[in-house]
Order: sequence, then structure tokens, then C-alpha cells
Amino acid sequence: MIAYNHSSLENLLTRKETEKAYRKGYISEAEKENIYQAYPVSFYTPNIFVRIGLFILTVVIGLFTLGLLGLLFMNQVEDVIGGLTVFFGLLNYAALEFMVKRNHYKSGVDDALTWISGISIVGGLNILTNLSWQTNSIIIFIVSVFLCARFINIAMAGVAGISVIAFIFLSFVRLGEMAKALAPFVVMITSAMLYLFAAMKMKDQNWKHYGNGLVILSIVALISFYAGGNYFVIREISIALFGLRLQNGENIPFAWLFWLLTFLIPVLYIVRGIQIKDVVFLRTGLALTAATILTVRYYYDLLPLETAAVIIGTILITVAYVLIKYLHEPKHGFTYKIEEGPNFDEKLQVESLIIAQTFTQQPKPDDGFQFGGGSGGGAGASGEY
Amino acid sequence: MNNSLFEKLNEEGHLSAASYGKIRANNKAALFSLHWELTTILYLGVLLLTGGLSVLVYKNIDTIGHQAILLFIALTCAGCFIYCFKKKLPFSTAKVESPNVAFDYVLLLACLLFITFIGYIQFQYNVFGERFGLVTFIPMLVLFFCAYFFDHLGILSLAITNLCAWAGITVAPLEILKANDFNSNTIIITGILLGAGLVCVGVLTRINELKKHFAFTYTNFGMHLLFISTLAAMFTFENIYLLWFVAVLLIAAYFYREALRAKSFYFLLVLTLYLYTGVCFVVLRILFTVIPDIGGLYLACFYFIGSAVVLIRFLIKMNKKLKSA
Repeated sequence: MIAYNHSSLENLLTRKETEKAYRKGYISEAEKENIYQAYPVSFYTPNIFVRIGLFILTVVIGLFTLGLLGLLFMNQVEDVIGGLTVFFGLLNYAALEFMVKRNHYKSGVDDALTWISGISIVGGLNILTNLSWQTNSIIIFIVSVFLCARFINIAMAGVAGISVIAFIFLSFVRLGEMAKALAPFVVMITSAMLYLFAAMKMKDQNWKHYGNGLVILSIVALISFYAGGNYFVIREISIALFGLRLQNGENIPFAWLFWLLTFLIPVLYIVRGIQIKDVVFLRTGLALTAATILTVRYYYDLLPLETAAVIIGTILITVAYVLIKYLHEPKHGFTYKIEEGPNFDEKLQVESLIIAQTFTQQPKPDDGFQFGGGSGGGAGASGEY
Repeated sequence: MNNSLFEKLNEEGHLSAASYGKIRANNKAALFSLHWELTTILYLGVLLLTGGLSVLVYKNIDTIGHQAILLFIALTCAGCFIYCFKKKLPFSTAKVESPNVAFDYVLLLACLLFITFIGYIQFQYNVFGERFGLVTFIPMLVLFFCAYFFDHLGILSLAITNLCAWAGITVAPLEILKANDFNSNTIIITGILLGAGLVCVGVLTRINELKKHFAFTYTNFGMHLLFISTLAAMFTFENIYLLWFVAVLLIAAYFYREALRAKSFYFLLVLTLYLYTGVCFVVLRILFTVIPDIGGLYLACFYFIGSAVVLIRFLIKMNKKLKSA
């Protein structure tokens, strides 16, 4: 199923593990070189910046090829544009297969071609006929699963996850009023199953090349599980999609249950993440805590924004400070130290740029920078060496 | 790490018994790093706290009174600076690690409060009168001093931003097109001079080994500023745009050499994309003056496809060259 050279993929995995062990200082450079010699990889995978460049340039080529095709049929462009776009998508797919045969692997070229062919095929079909949301979601699901399976594209795994949940949701709510009321639970059950699927396959040796894709899939599943029970999502979807009309003071059915879920799920994620030492659970839980705070703030003005910011900021600083102190020496298998050393300099560079960007972009109503054309903006090149 | 894989490597004789033992021992006692999570929480906390406080002060200005606020800011700022002076490790022209986790954030807070303080007294009491330059110039000096004295890259970026604000423009690449009106000749010239200056400082920093790790920040700011200014000049001064194009070429040539020297893929990508923008502008302009009808459009499409293919080949070749260099 996978388009890339199989033995190179296998050897790449070995090399990656070796690199990790080398960075941690468990094996010597000679041993590393030895293993690299014994496990050759024929792929062309350039540096990340070159990859970005190749991606952009491939998109440029794609866009102007489509433009050229459009120019050729200029007089009847409105009649043929749909078919033309689908044809263009297939053309890109052929190019993709060709480039993969020439050993391009995560080179930017194959990434770009995957996206262009997927988007043009789905987009072209939409121009050709009027497709419903439901049909669209199933088409997107099929295309993304295929592209993910054949080209190990990790983002496509996420797209596939979102589209399958969307398809089940859209199909289910067609069944009637009762189904609409149960839709949140259907979404949650689907997401849970999706997560279990990803977790199961992550342990499966036959699926080892899809590791990162499965991580993305599990993140998508965790987020949609939360969204399925989130008060804001349910209330707004009921109003926008199902035409629910709430009078003043009226609430959605089972509001208490959804509020409970909104609060409970992030906490459970964080607890679970710490329990099994799982980064996906932990980070998703932390991010969703912010979502819960925003949900509460959307409906209840408990505190003025700035007071809330001060209180939450103080809590965060305290928590972080206490934990950093506590984990100064590793405890219970947790540490504050960075796992691997070498990339530290790069991280520092990026961090400094982020600081300059965010801190100077804040609104500062109490100081008067109103001169010289400058608005006191920050620095923000997206770069490191 | 995958135990069975290393077992296989061990059996094949690629791995010494000692190394294999180390890996197995590590797998049993693997530590789970919370560094990223805790740092993010800390950073968010500082952001929320300072943001919330400044709005709070702004809203309650009638009841608190300006002197009280100024006093509070001054005291907090002084407190933070005193902490930094006490805790800091001895100065060195090489890189100095920060003594603890909180240090970097306290220093950042001190510097931000100082900027706020200067801005505040100018806004409220007009201390510097019409000499607006001073209002940015003084914080800039302090920021540069702190960046070097305490060795803080983030403060250095702030200082450079402040330098540019002082020179009359803002340099955030994200903001640069939004915030600035590039039709003004003086701004373009200032940008070019400033960019060139920053690049020079970057080179001097590297050669003199004075905080060598600062060099990248200077060069990066300078490079973006130079390219954006010269490209803006090309688009603005239409009658002599070819002259400015030559300038773009020269700058690109310089950074090409730099990229080779520093083996920097990042510089390579940035210079390629800026240069490509410039070349496309020139080619399209000439193309549409010579063939102003539909044929020109066809040729433009062919040009873009062809040039992108050429550039892809160039980048692939350069990737090899930098890797083996």
C-alpha cells in the first residue's frame, strides 16, 4: 500500500532510533556511523528550510499549470472548469507517484503534490455538481484515507479523522428529532472509538510507519470527544444547525450534564496524561483547560476580564514555580530538565523571537507610544538556523 | 526506545554490549520531561498577569492617581532589577547561562516595566517635551545594556525593535507591510541603512567574539529589513527600478556567501524567496510592456512554471552542497 521504498522506510526507522540513542549519549559516534552504513536509505529528504522552499515552489508550479489549462479553454471556461480541476488533480497525483518513484520522501515536493491533488479532486467534484455536506465529508474521508495510507501523510490522518466524525454526525442527525438530542453522545462515542483505534494501532508493528499519523488522529479524537460534550459547542450548534430557539433565561436540555463534561474532560485528560505519562493526553488536556475557561467566560461575566487575567496569571505562575522547584530533582519519574541537549540553541532563538512578538504586540493603553510612525510592534521572523 | 530493535542491532554486532546495556537500563528508568509544559504555563502566566495589571491600572486611573501608579511601577521595576543584579552570574563576553528559571522572566518583567514607566511619564507629564526620540532612545539604551549585561536574547530582540522604532519604523516582519506606509522615501532609505548597520554589527559580533551567539539575531533582523526595504524601493521608484534590482542582487549575493559560510539553510531559503520576488517583478514588468496582450499571459504562466522548476533544481543542488560542506 505504501508508495515509498519499503526497505528504505524500515532502515529510516532504525536510523531514527539510533539517532535518539546517540543524542542521549548511549552509543558512540563510531557505532552510529556503523549502523548508518549497514542500514542505507535511498530517500531524498532535504533540510526543513529547503523542504519549505520546495513546497512553496511546487505550489507555484501547480497554480500556474492550472492557470495555463484555464487559459487554453478560456472561451468556455465556466463549463469545463470543474472537469478541468479534477483532471488537474489526477495529473498531480500522477506527478506525485512519479516523484515518489524518484525517491522523494518528505522533500516538500511530495508533500505539496499530495495536498494539491487531494484539494483539486474534492474541489473539482464540488464545482461539477452540487454536493451536500454529508457527501462531501465521505468523499474527503475516502481521499484523505487513501492519501494517508499511500503516502504516510500525517496531516491527512487528521483530515480523515475529522471527516469521519463529521460524516457520522451529519448522517445521524438526519434520523429525526430524537437523534438530534442524542447527537453529542454519538460524536463522543465515535471519537472514543477513533481514539481506541489509534491507540491500538500504535502498538501494532504492522502500522509502525503510521506512528505520527496515529498521534495526530488521537489528538483529533480527544479534541472532538471534548467538543462533543462542550456546552458552548452544543448550544451554538443547536441554535445554528437545528434552529433551536431559546427564550431569555431558557437553557438547552441537560445543560448541567454538558457543563459537567466541559469541566471534567480536561481534568481527566491531564490526570490520565500524568498517570500513564502520555504527552498527547497531557498537552491536549492543558489546551482544553483554556477552552473550558473561555467557554465559561462566554456565558458568565463572573469577573471583569482584566481581574480574571490577573488571577489566572498569578495562579499559573505559582503553579509553574512550585512544580519547577519540586521537580528540581527528578521525582516519580518526572523531571523539569529537557530530555535532549543538542537542539537547545535553536529553541532559544525561537523563544526570543516569540517574546519580542507577543510582548510588544500587547495593547498598552497606559503608555503613549504615538510617534514616529511606529506602533511598537515586535520581532517575528519565523526562524532559526 | 525500541528494545527489540537494539537487541537486533546488538546481535548483528553493530552495537557494543556496553551501549546496549545503557539503552536497556535507560528504558527501564526513563524520565518524563515536563519542561515544555511548565515553561509554557509560566510564560502564559507572565503574559496574563502583566496584561491584566496594565488594563486594571488603566481603568482605575481616576481612583488610584498617577503618582501612586508611577510609584508602584518604579518600585516593582527597581525590585526586579535588584533581584537580577544580585542573582546574576559574573559577566563574560561568551555566553552566560541564567542562574535559575525565574531569572529570565524577572529580567523581562523589569525591562517591560521600565519601558512602561518612561512611556507613562512622557504621556502624563510630558517630561521630554517634543523630543519624542528620547522616549525610545533611553529605553533602547537600557535594553541593549540589559541584553549584554545579563545575556538575554529576548531582550536583545526587544532592543533591536526599539532601535527601529527610534529610527522611525517598526520591524516586525509580520507587521511591516500592515503598519508602514512604504511610499515614503525616507522610510525606505532608513530601512536600508538600518538593515545594513545591523548586518555589520552581526559580523562584528561574530569576529570580535563579543556575545557571539547574538550574531544570528542581528543578522536575521538586518537581512529581512534590507530585503524588504530594497524590494519596496524597487516597487516604489519605478523609473529606476532596475538599479534597485541590482541592489537586491548584490544583497542576495552577500547572503548567499553567508549561507555557505554558516551552512545555514534558513538564510538560503530566505534569500531565495526574496530574490525570486524581485526577479518575478522585473520579468513580468518587461514581459507586459513588450507583449501587452493575451500572449503575455501565456508566457507569464510558462515563465512561472519554468522558473519554479529551475529554482527547485537550485535548492536541491544547494541542499547537497551545504550538507557536504
